[in-house]
Amino acid sequence: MIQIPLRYTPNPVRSAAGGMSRAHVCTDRHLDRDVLVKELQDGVEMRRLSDEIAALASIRSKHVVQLYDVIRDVSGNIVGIVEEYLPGDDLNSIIPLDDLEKFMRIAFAIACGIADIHSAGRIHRDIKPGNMKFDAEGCLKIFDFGLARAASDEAATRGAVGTDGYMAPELCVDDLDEARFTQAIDTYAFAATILKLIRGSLPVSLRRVPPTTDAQADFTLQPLVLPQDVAALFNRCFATYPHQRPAMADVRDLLGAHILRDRHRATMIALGHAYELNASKRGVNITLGQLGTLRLSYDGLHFGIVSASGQVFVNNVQVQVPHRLPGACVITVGGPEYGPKRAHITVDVSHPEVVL
Amino acid sequence: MTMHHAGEVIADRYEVVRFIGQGGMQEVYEAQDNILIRRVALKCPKTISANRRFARSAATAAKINHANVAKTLDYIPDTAHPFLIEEVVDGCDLSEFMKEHVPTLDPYSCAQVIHRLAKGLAASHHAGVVHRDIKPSNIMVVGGAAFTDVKITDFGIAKMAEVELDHAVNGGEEALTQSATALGALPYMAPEMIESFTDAGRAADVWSLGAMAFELLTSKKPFGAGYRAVPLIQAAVMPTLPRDQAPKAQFAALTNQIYDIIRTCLSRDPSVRPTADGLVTQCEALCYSDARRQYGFVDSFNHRDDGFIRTDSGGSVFFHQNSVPYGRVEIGQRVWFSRHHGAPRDRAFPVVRAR
Repeated sequence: MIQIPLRYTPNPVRSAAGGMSRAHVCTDRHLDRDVLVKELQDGVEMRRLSDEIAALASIRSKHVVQLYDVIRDVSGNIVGIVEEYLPGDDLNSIIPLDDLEKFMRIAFAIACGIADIHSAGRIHRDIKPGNMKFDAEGCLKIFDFGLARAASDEAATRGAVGTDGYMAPELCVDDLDEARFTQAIDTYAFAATILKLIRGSLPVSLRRVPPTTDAQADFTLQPLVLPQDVAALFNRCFATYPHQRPAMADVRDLLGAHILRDRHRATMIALGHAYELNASKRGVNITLGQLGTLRLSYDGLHFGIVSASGQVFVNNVQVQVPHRLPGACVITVGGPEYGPKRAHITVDVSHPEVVL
Repeated sequence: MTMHHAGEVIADRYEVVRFIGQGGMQEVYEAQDNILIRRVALKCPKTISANRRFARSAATAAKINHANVAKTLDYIPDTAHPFLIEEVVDGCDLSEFMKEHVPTLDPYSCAQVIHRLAKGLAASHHAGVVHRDIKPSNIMVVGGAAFTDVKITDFGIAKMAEVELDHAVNGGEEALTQSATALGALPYMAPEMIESFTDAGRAADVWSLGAMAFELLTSKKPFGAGYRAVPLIQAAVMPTLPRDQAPKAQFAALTNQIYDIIRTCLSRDPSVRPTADGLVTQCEALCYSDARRQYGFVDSFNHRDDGFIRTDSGGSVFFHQNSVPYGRVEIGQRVWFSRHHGAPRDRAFPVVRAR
């Protein structure tokens, strides 16, 4: 065991075990709060700890655990790190999930976290339910960056590193061969993680070396019925070729859109009258005098023009009806020949903000 | 004259980069953490007498963990020169933002700010921490002019200033006007804080958030500033929206919803105000757009009510006076707006006056 500075008093009541390093819950006497002190284990390269420090320090995300301090030995070598302590159990304690709304929110939070890690130019390399927890405010946090690597480094490693069942096919090479990888390995591990959240355990096919995907790993065939486009995107996360997997930002955005399903609101102002569309009022007819009628609708995700008499322009661009609205815009009915008699309808689209 | 200078290294770890500013109780610097290779904010008390309370205020703040609260990272318990190390926020405080960039927020951004601050406040109340000095200069705006997020800072500062504030608020007009700290805090103080500063609880934070939200929406302090605010706060008569700021059709519904939320926060009786959690629930029901904002100035008019904005990035966007929450903007007016796709030019909505 390393020599922990006096500032950090071991807290005997709590204990924790990390993947690559040993972890101790301590009380930071300067700030009177619990912290996690992780020490480098014998025989594990120093590189892993410095990788974790570089990774944690470079990512600014509310979904990534906060790093506070490092611990050095007498010769000045880094032998441990001090980070935010999260009480409670990891994500394995909540599986299987059978509530779609809860599942979508958790999957969205995980996707947000991985997208943040990727936008900081990092690869986590060990995404799995055991490396995620909720903090006291219900915010999902990803930890154990012991294997994290900068995406710009020569991302290659000897032999397979990671956790069985979560490792993308390109990581499964013989011990002496070099495995080359990209951020897409986290995307693959994300899919395995959420599959475990739904099923409670990973199918045998994913544990094979190299892994394969069969019906049990097909998101369209799970006990929890997912929206079709979500299931299809999740399936693409398991693509054999890394470049065929979606970017995590795209996964995040699709999940975010579904969380807001039926929660949008559009306010239209036409000829001084206000109209509204929302989940309980999905269609509206706006009468425009001699220009006829404009019909708008809401399908739970988007607003659209269903029908109109005469030419229709959105933000001054003529469109073919039916037409999906781009968000806040101005709809104009009537061609330029109507001059000042054209009708302008301002549309303002808003929604509750999902702050996780 | 600041207490520390650029290049000075504190606790073998934090190298002072520059002086950022100061409040009544402390100086704030930007520093480089040479161990974790990142920028941090470094705070130190201005007087020895404040040092005793400093450690406790640091430990208080360190209990809160939320994206809308500036994180406490470290504390150097040197008796003569203690330091608090906090997450650095690249930006400015909300008071500066209103003075230098945008004096009145549109109802969308106003709703977003209230929502996020309510989340941060709820997290601190869950941790058993009351701020007691919620005001624009204690809110950091991430990105400064770019305005991407807000974070509450200086938890525990009220503890350090407790004696001064209590004395100033109870000492009559003269005592009050002599304390810059008290004058700054007064417009946002709940009635019960004016009666006894030390007894104020969580509901006082909710009041302060409501008072601040009123200012964001109208650029006016709900009960004014200076000593004359005291009786008005004690009477707690909710001010109406200024008549010349009546919102246009597109903005009326949300503006009224925000106004109703503010009114419940400014209830005289603390037990009638929503809790921070209750405030979060109310904000979750608000619909607003979170489109990014940018700056430009009104360049020309097409017709009486529509024209073009020249953006700081060089382009030109279409706008209509109906997209300005209240009143009109004229040529040369600097504006803050979101941009939506259109042709031949993009369209700006909403559009508010900027400085």
